[in-house]
Amino acid sequence: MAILLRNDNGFPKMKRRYRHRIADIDSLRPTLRIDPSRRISFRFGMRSVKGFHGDSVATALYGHGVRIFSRSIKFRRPRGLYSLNGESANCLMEIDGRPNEMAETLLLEKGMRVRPQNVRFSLKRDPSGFMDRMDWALPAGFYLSRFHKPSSLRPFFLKRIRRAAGIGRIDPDYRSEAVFDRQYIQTDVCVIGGGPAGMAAAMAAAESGVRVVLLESRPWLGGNFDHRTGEFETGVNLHHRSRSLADQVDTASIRRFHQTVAIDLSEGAAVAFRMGGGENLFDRRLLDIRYRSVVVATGCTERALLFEHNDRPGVMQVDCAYRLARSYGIFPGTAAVFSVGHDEGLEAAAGLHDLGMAVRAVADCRAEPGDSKLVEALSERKIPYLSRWHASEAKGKKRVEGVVLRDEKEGRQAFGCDLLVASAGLSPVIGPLSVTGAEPAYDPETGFYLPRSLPPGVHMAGRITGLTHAGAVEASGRSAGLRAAGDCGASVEAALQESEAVLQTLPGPAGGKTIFLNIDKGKKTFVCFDMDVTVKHLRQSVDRGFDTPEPAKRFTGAGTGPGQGGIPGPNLPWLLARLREASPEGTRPTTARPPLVPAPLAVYGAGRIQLNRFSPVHSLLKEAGAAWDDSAGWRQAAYFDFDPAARKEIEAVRGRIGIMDAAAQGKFRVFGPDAVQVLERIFIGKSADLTPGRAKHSFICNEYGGVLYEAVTACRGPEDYLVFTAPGMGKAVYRWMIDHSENKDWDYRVADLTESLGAVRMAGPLARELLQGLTESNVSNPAFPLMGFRRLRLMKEALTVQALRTGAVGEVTYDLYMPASLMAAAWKALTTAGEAFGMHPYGLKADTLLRLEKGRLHIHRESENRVTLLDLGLERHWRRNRSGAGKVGDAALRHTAGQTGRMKRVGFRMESAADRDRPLQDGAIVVDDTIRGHVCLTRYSDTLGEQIGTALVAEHLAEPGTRLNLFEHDMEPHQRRHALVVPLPFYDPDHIRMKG
Amino acid sequence: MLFKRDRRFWKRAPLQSEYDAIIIGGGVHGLSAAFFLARNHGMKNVAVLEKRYIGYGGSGRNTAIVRANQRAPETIPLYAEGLKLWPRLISELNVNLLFFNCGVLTLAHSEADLAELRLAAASGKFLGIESRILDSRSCRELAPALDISDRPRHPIVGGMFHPPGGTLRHDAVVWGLAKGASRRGVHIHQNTEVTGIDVQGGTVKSVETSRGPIRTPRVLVAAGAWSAEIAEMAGVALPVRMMTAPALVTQPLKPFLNHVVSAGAYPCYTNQTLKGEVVACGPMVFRPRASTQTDAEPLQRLSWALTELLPCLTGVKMMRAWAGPVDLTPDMAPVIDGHDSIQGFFLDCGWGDFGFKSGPVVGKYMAQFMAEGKKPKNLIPFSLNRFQEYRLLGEASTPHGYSPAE
Repeated sequence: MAILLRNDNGFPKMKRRYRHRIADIDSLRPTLRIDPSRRISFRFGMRSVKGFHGDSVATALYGHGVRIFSRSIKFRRPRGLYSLNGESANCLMEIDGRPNEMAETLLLEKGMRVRPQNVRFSLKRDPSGFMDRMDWALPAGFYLSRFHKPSSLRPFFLKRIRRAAGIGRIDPDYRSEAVFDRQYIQTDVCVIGGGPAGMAAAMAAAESGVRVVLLESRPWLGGNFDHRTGEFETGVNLHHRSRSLADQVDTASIRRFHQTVAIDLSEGAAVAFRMGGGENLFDRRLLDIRYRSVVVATGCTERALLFEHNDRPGVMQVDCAYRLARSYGIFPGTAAVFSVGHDEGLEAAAGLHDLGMAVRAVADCRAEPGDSKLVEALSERKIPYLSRWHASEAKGKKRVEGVVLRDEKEGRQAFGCDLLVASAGLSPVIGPLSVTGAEPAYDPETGFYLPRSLPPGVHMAGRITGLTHAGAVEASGRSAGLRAAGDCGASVEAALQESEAVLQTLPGPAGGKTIFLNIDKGKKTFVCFDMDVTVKHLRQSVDRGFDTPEPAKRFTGAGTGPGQGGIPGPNLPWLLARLREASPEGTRPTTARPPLVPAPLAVYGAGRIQLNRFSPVHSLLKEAGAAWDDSAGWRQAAYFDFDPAARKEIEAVRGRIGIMDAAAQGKFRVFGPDAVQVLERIFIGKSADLTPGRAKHSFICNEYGGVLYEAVTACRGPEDYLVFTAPGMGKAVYRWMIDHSENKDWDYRVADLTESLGAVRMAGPLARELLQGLTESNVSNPAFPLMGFRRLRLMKEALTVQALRTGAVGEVTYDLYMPASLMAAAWKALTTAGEAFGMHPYGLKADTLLRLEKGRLHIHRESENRVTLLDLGLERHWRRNRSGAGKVGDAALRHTAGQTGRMKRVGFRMESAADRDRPLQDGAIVVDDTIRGHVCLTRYSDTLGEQIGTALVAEHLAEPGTRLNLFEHDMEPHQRRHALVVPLPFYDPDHIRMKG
Repeated sequence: MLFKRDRRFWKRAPLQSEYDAIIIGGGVHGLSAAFFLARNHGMKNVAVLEKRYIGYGGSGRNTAIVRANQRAPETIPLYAEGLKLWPRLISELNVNLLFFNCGVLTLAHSEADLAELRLAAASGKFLGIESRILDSRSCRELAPALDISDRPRHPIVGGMFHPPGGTLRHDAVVWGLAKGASRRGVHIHQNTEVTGIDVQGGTVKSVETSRGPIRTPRVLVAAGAWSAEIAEMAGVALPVRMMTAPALVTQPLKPFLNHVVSAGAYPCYTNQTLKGEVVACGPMVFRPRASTQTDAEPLQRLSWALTELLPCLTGVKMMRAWAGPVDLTPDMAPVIDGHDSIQGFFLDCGWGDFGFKSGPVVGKYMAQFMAEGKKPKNLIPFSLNRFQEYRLLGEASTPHGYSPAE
């Protein structure tokens, strides 16, 4: 007869809905983690439900009487609260529109909208529950041999499969309003896990004077001590102890992070994420922690006990049942049977009995209990203790209604109950150790998978090492904390010796473990809840040749669900070993991979925003009506006046004068005795003959002769050069320069002036006239020729610039460099002075066309792996190095110089003017019977009055006058358009305008 | 049970001291070559040697996307034939490889991207494989979760949809090929590491393994990212760089993304599997050796990219992350060669991140090459000596360099 728990005190305004909460709430006060005086209302489906401050979503629902939390993915079986640590998908729910939230660990907040997922009709009555009887049709890897015959039905089957798949539902238009943030933390010692060992480690490390960070996944410190009533020492319970430790941590110099889980660890760095909300400004925050040593004190979870229907709602872990009662004030059930494999199970049985729950029997799969006092405690309470017995089947359809216990020799016994507390024993949480590179192996002494050795600076402590004695757990934490502090240079020898001596006197890991695995029938014995994998499935997997953990995991799916393998854990490798009649020794668990706990994508990517760089004249360009383009991280003006064809801009450059923001150019000063060596190495042209006041345009090739970058090198003085790259290419050129001089013993320096120098380009036939009007120096053609480099004082000596005369767009062009802080003023002054000349700003679109007209190489569009500098028609820029060595790309150019059958860059114009209505687009292909090349860049040139372009074509099509057949993606297969190969450049072939 | 059917995917086989052909690497390429050697050429005395378990490397760590929207004209017909092979393989192997013909949507973030897509679409159309260019609004019609506003770091300006592309179940492909090969007499030896290749007088004589030497006149190196190490055993240097591609998978969601979506600017490509998980792969990072180790930084960039591209995923949780080992050649096209400097020494590697989709079709031609001794015409462009001759292929749109990732 179940005990009725009609309460009439303890909770405010006690109504029927609180009947699951424990009446005598005050007796729980020391361990209670909810505040009975603060109610929180939230929505569950259509209903309004109340929980208490401190509840997790799942405990609030459990306290409300919800027992079925989800339906399993394949067999659609009802699933309930099994653990409180987020080990399975049982409690995944949709919360505030976010799918797959882990209700067991998520703290309840006011007004939350909680909905079950992937359910038809209701959790209790889901018509798809018939799938549970279809297990014969769904063996392991069933999809491999189904749904592909006949082939005409494959699309239909795929559609059905897709519909059945997935758990949570997401709205494509969903936008999160949450604030995701990132925080960088530096510390000496990082302690993962705020249980007794972790707290002891953190305190020991802090006492030795190093910086300590402590991460705890729950909202409070204490770990497994927090709710346990066992004795720490005479008169002190474990939960008292945990609170006094937590108080000490509070006053020590330790940075604590609650509700923070480590998701990745690597050498010297940890990534964790922290729940925020409430008083915090962020909702979730990524912590990027750099540490010098780390202590992993993550403790243990429970290994799932295997028996028929071990997934029924009403079956739960010891820790879950006990914490529900002691931390949340909820009776996990009314009448319980325990089938456990570790002492904490016995402790919980007695504890729950004392709270007023009926405990019908305690089965212990071990031959002997670890602590015989616990058995005495059970017999004092008249609870039958059945050694070597274990649950073999849970009875009941939607909830546990009874259990069959079994002993190999003595047979079976049946008990009625509505709660089956089941656990095969403890299993260490070694994920954080595994991802640091420590390889876990089976340790026969503890029966755990533990790392054979730890990487330097990584320590472990507490129950994870197999210790169970409370004092020993703490002492091991203390030792680990001291060792970690020692790694950071603190002197800890004396304290460490003392702590080790204490540890020696205390009981070590509970030895003599035998692994308990129950595999008799296994048709509905679930190894993995999330993917509905049973013992039978594993047997099938072994039969088909997948008999080791990794292949079996791939074949059956065990451990690939949202619980990240928390339920299968060590059961999977051990079962496989048992099924192929091997011993667990020598087996290995499946590989642990980050994230150790599922982390929202936005948290993982928080703070990753890549910022654009802006020119000093950005706002001036904006006023001038610029449209923008991103160019290698720089925001650059694309065109003005809403005209993507940039007609006015081009007209200004060709007829009068144009001004362009060139701040995005990479700018470097390369100087020192060996500066010229570097330039000689990376540039394909000759730099050694540059004299002060002269500049040279050259290319950087890769070792295959392909063109990577272009730049102008100007000589400032002896051993002193300035390198100006194409816009946005600065970073890459810098890196190339460093990479190719790294192992040389060259004496030179590079100063990156990209951000500190502003640059303005003036181009056009009137540019010289304008410049002359601003300076006293002589800038006439003989005095300041093409590729000259001068220092000029402008505007009555108000502004000094370094001026470079180039021919980039085929007109007289000056690049003026000045400190970035003066660029805006210079731009204003130049535009004011330019008004009289009809000056107009121009952007990237105009630049592209101007350069195309002039036949300039557009590296981004025209250079690729099939063509070298020579194929691109730039042999004039290649100065064969006498020694042949040392110039990157030189060897390739020599080798390919005489080759035939290579692709070449050509200029072309469209054959008929009729094509104007439908301009040719970049990316058209050149064909005859096969593909012979493609159009790199093509535009209609108003200046020339025709459509021009460049293409890479097979060598036999490269002769001027050749007719090219062009094919575009939107043409009919037989259609072609025609172009004629013409010599480059299209505009001013004798360079009279730019030289004049 | 006397009449119990042997249900193993591939049979246990004794390690013989001699085989007609040895294939190093139990991945998609190696198993395909073995399968087609036995099927098309009657060469049944063949062994596949795998250091760990079959499908351990790139074959089991890719995102299982298949497509034929390549850039280089030499590779398009090969990949196109590969696409047509999948349905036939499913019938022939009698294993459901879960070929989901969902189409691939490649996004453009700039004018230059669009030009590249037009090139790919035109090339495909000319060679008979469909791709069509879309504006950004049509991209969103195909994938309603895409953010086509100006908000993302790389706004979407257009795209290309490639309907013949799709996804498969990568493990099923490996197991199916193993089954097919094994049924035809091929021996598959797992946990068998190759430690040396014995070459005498310019001819392959035997292979040293962790389980003893095996005599053979033919060796195929199809060890994915580990190929360079293996080739070196025969004194052949491969011009490959080792990289890892970070990949992640989210918790399963109901179908919301119906196509593969690829965004080169981040870079990030993603699709929703038949199980409902969102799989994504992102920026590759250099590694000194072949590795399956994940790095936090590229993974964080990938997560960020995914939320920029598909902002509804911000609160969706990453469940697993891993890294795919990748061997990248300078031109991103593979090395397929044989009988070059060493008689009986064959190479099928350097696939970078294109290895999965090319597996069966290249295995078919590789088998022809190994059995007949003459290189099939369509494999000629991929010879190893193209690097010595500086005749690179046009698979990538930019010249080989190592500019820092932006």
